[in-house]
Amino acid sequence: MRRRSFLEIGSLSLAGIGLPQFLQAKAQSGGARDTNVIFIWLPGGPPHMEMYDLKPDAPSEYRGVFRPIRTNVPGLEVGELLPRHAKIADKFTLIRSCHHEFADHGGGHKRFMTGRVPAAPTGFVNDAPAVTSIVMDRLGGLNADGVPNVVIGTDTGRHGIDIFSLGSAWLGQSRTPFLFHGDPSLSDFQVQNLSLAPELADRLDDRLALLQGFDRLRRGLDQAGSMVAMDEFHQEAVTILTSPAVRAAFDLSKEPQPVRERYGMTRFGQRGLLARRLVEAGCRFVTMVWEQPHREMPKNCTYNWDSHAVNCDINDDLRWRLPSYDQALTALIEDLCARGLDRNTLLICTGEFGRTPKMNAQRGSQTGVMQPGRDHWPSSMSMLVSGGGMRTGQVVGATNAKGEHPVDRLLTPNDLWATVYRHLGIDPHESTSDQLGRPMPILPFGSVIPEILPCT
Amino acid sequence: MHLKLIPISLLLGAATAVAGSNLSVRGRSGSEDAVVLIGPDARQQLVVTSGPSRDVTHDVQWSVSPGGVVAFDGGGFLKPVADGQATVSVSHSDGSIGSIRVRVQQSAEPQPINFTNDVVPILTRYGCNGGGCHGKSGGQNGFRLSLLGYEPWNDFDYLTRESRGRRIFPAVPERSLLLTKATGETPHGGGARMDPESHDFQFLVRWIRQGMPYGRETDPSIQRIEVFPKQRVAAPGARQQLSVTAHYSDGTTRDITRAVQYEANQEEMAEVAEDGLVTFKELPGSTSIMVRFQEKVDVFVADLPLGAPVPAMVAANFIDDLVQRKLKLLGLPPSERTGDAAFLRRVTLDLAGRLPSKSEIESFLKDPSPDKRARRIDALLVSDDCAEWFAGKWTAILRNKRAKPEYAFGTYAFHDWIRRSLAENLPFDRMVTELLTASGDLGQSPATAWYRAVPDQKDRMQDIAQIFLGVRVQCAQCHHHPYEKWSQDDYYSFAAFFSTLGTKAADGPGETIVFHQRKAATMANPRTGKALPPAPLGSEALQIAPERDPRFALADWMSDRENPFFARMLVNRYWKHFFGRGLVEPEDDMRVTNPATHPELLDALATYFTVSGYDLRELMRLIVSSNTYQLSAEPNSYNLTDRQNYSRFYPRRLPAEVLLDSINMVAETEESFGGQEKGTRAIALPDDSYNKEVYFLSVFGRPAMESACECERTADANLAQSLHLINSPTLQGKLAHPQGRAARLAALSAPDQSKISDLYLAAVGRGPEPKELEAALGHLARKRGTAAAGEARVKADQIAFEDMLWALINTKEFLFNH
Repeated sequence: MRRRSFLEIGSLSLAGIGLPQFLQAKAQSGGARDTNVIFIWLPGGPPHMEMYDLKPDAPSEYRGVFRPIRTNVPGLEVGELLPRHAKIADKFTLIRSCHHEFADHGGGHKRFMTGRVPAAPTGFVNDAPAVTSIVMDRLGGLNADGVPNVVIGTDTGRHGIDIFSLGSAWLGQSRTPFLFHGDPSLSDFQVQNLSLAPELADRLDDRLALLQGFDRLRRGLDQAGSMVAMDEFHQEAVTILTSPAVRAAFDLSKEPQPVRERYGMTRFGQRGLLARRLVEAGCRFVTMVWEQPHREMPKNCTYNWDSHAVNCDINDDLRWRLPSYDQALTALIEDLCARGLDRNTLLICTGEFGRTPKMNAQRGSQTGVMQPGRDHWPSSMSMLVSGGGMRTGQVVGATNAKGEHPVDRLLTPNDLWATVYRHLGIDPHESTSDQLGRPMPILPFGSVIPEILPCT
Repeated sequence: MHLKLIPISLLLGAATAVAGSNLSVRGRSGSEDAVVLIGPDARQQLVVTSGPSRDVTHDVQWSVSPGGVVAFDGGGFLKPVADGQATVSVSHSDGSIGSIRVRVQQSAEPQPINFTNDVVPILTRYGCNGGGCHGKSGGQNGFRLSLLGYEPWNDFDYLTRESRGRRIFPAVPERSLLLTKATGETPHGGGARMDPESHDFQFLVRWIRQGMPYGRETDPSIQRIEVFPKQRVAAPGARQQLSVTAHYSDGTTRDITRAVQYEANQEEMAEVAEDGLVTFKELPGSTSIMVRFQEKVDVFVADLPLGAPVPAMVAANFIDDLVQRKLKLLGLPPSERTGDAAFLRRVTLDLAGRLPSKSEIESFLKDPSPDKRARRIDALLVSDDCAEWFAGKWTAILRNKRAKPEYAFGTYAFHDWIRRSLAENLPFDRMVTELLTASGDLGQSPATAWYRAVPDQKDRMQDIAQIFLGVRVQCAQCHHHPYEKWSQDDYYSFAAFFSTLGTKAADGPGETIVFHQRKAATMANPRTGKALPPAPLGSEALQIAPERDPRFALADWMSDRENPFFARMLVNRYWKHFFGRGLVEPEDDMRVTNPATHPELLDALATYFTVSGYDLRELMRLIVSSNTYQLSAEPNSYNLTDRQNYSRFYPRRLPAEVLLDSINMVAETEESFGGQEKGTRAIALPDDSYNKEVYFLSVFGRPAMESACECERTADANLAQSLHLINSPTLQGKLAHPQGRAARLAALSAPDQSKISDLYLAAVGRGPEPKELEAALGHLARKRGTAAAGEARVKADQIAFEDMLWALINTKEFLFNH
């Protein structure tokens, strides 16, 4: 009798213990339902003085060559290379008063992505989990349709999790988001490991059948849960591999050509369109990295937004880069609005810092001639926010006359994350445990930005 | 509210047990037989025990006579009503009874309040000063407190003076922001946490009304806390009421049962409520509850037996005796001894970091001699693979990181030094001494690479404490350690051992020279500014002459036979290597509040290791020779859920490097790592740099070597691993390699059955079972279809063998050590 009751309870507890939190989190499907985030990341540091925070009255070495243009929101101006922005300024908010203290790409990435002050000011490997991994920890890895909840898209060759400080740190490998790479504007674009190679597609069924016949080791052997977990993940992997929802989300050929062209047949445009498709498939947090707009790069331009004079002629670089950006981002905003996704989908666009308000000239390493550029500047940076039911058509905060530092509404990346967590229904005061078991708050500081919250 | 306790023997006489009673009712530590409550705030949790150890506190009827002296607040929790004496009686439905005498004094005279002793514990109890709230550095929404109240003088300032004293409203204490926030009356991010009717609320009101006293210098301070009971054997599903007593410097005591924080160390085994009521769950084994009050800690340990008959197991050495003693206590019968094939696979994986080869398997299975396991162990222990495999383990926790390409010379040298030390079986104390006292350049002293990898002296101290002493002191850098006795002074005086070290650039790029600067070793506690001389953990400060490198003194202290940490840490780390969990878990977090499941075994292993002259090989031999290690992973009817008593072998996923090597071995392919000879095995890689290059290694959790924590190596499963195993072109490339096993078997003229056996032997160390053979032959036949002999047939066979390889690699039997 004793033994029997023990066995009964033993089998009950089998289901309850040891399963990794990942699966539990998935079952709980935490957070506010149906809200999503599209996070457009501009590595290198976009120039606020040319894009969203122009200073036409500043001395010429500050203001640069581009002029501000009016938009459909009186008083809200953007750079002249963003004419499409000007037509839909009522659909976004510009935040001009964000700042932090990390002027290195690595430090800036870590500072921004983790919502924490990094231990070392340089290097990209983040010592605390990136927001993307925290979101995954809270909302689970896959949604009910087998679509990964947190997805990151990058250029090929830039698809390491550490390149943009997106590591999961103490949350462990199981909180590593689904990362795909490639140029979705190319006709042969496909996602690695996600779609079965055609010659293997037919064989997967065979192989799974064989595996079933071979896999005789009882999962009951392992109470710590990793055998059970591995079975679950294997099933999830097969689900993803065979899920029409996942494959369809990544299949841009399903989009009408005019829509694809409205976004622009560029990496920016097609990655933006993929973001919308993923959100429609139920993905909760999509990060799209926009570095090089498309394959052909003029000699006096540079790979990403890092427009030092040694890298490029900043003016030529922007003349090349911004039209693709303007087209892709505005298409995404308009498309989200047209489909009614703007209520639930919060769109954010920013990089790790702004650029030096004062321009300088140096000899370009590629061109060999003196050319203008700007360096790293975390003391002021601009961010664009749209959708998510947030209030739009406004500017939050301001920098001083030369764009050097905020003078009004001093904000940090953490205030943005507080707003994002609120949107996703994640409590930033909750904690995760680091490797030593110390409770680490999801967001150690930062407050929701009230100016952009919905009016309700 | 501090209690002045008059010795009970004078008041009431020592013996108070009622004749004929058979329930023991227990009061406070130090005065178990009677209870004296002094002042209106005094409380007492009584604990009722039936027989030697069954807790019935919440199963009895409570009564008190005469009435009007004390009242009950929940089962057995007394509070004073009016001065006088009374007898509290209990009766159980089985007829047993018991009683205890109670005396109440000064019930209408509130005792003077001491901020540290009385107010801070309330802030802690309600979570106000927790790390997720106002206790985190910088506080929360403009209001901060010291973490867990370790700096009461600062908390006093924050509460009463900061922001022009806006948090306290002496004119109407109830309206103080401190209280209206706590009750949620004023909007509070932390919500409503305190009931305005509660005693704690009223107490804070009284403190404010008294003029917010901080207390006097002469007030008693807390010396220790004591939980009752300390240890119990309890039935699964049973409950245990704890009571906790605080002992103060003036000899007085106080019941703090409802003022402390409780934490269950294994939540799957026991839960604990805020009032100290422990509820055990159904898992047999040992579990513990940590009790914390201010900076003091104590622990309650319970053994939960299953009660099944345990047959005698043959003991190969003392490990078996001690493991079996616990299994007998718990009534948890162990699994059978594992078979030869499973043993060979297990011991080869654990000692040599690889699968056994076909010839090893065949000759081992054929060998009829009774000592073949011992001989196999001996052979593996002295193999190069063993040194290679353990060198990988140590390089990870010693952070052999190639932070820059030019660091390669150093990371190779350091790895080689570790590997050679292990191959020569250098006594572990000597190895650690060489590491600790490394001086000069990388050529002379490869261990200086560690000093380059860990440039900060505080980090060096933390690493050494965690790796070799099992003490995680990190918390004490900024505040008193919440679960431990370590203070900030302990932290900085231990770090002072590294304070004289200098580094300068050497000739080679990225190389440095480590040297002792002639000066007195000292490090300042940044909070007090006091310069502290070096002191070993838990010992007096040492006087070290400026010309002496203090690291030698540290090494001497660590390798002293009497060192309480050093040998225990190492044996626990190695135990975990072979059993998948430490006797203390996590293995490098050894503290009073995290007790070992088998304390005697841990001590015996440490003594064995010390007496053997810190002989690592001998320790490993002892462990893998035990019958405990050689138990089957297959559970019997009782021990499926056992995870800490070693009643069977707990399976675990193969580590990243071993898994990659094993796949290559099974597929008959070779890896090429940058800068390494083709065919180099993953377990032989010197540093972390290959993790980036080979996705397989990072996705399966090869340590990033960022910290001294063995926990960096994850055996977790995750989605990316599954996608990789199921669908990666890399893996498919290995399966389909033209010189690989599938191609070889397809081209070979041999019976299908023997080819399938070959696959099975390579992957899982056994031949196929009839059903598996049938499935495999069926698959082969389907793939062949109508393909006649010749090229088409070879092609079809290759595809079939690839599929079988794929399936075998994806079985848990392959992926796990079991």
